[in-house]
Amino acid sequence: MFKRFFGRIHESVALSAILAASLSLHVAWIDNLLLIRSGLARTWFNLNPEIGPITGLYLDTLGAFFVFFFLLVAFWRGKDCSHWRERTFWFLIASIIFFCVMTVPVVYEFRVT
Amino acid sequence: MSSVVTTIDYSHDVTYMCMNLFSLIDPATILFVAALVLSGSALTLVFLIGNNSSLVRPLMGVLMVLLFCLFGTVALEFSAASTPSYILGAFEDVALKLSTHRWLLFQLPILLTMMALIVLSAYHDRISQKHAGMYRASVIVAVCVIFASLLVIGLESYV
Repeated sequence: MFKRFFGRIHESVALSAILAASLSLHVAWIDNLLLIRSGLARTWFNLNPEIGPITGLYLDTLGAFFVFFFLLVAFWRGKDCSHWRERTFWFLIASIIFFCVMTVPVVYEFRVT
Repeated sequence: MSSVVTTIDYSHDVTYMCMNLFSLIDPATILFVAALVLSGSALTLVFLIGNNSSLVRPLMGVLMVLLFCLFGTVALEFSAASTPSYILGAFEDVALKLSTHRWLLFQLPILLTMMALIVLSAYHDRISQKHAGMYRASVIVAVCVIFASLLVIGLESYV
């Protein structure tokens, strides 16, 4: 079974991994923003009070990665996805930059009032 | 009746010295340093996969161990946590702000290592071919970001 898998190039799998990682980075910074702004989200994410709400945040990000990955693999299975290569790559770059900017304390703490 | 109190100086005892040394070593720090060293070696390997496709397998091995080190660091840090690791806006100092930032940033190497591993396992030694240029670039970017983020996390720990 593995020989059959590695014998072919599964472009959809590689593409799904890149897009799932990019989308998970967006999920991570949006979750962090929700945790900062909403008390309800904070209690919801606080799975272990000793560690804090980061347990929920990590689980949510990892869960989002695997859910997006399997959904995208199912969506692109058997389809020609070569025209998605470049767009997905640039989306990954944008997601990394966005994540780095949005997790700086000065940025996510910013309030107008 | 007089009692004689004698004190034995253990400071020159080898066992005592070793125990003191081991008490200074933090397992999570060792795993983190191992992750940093492995990301450095992955950074060297990833720039060579375009010319030499036989390096894909060692790179996958390095990334796999790196992923275990990252998960191990998180698990050890969380299991030893006596105070919430994630401060959530209730901070007053730069050190506490950076603690929150560090834990947020730690998600980046974990996600990108998993991504790079899946891309490499899908393409294997054909990643050096022309049509796989974008995937090769994605893996290179991922490894560069992993190394940079681990370096930033390490530097922030000193503040």
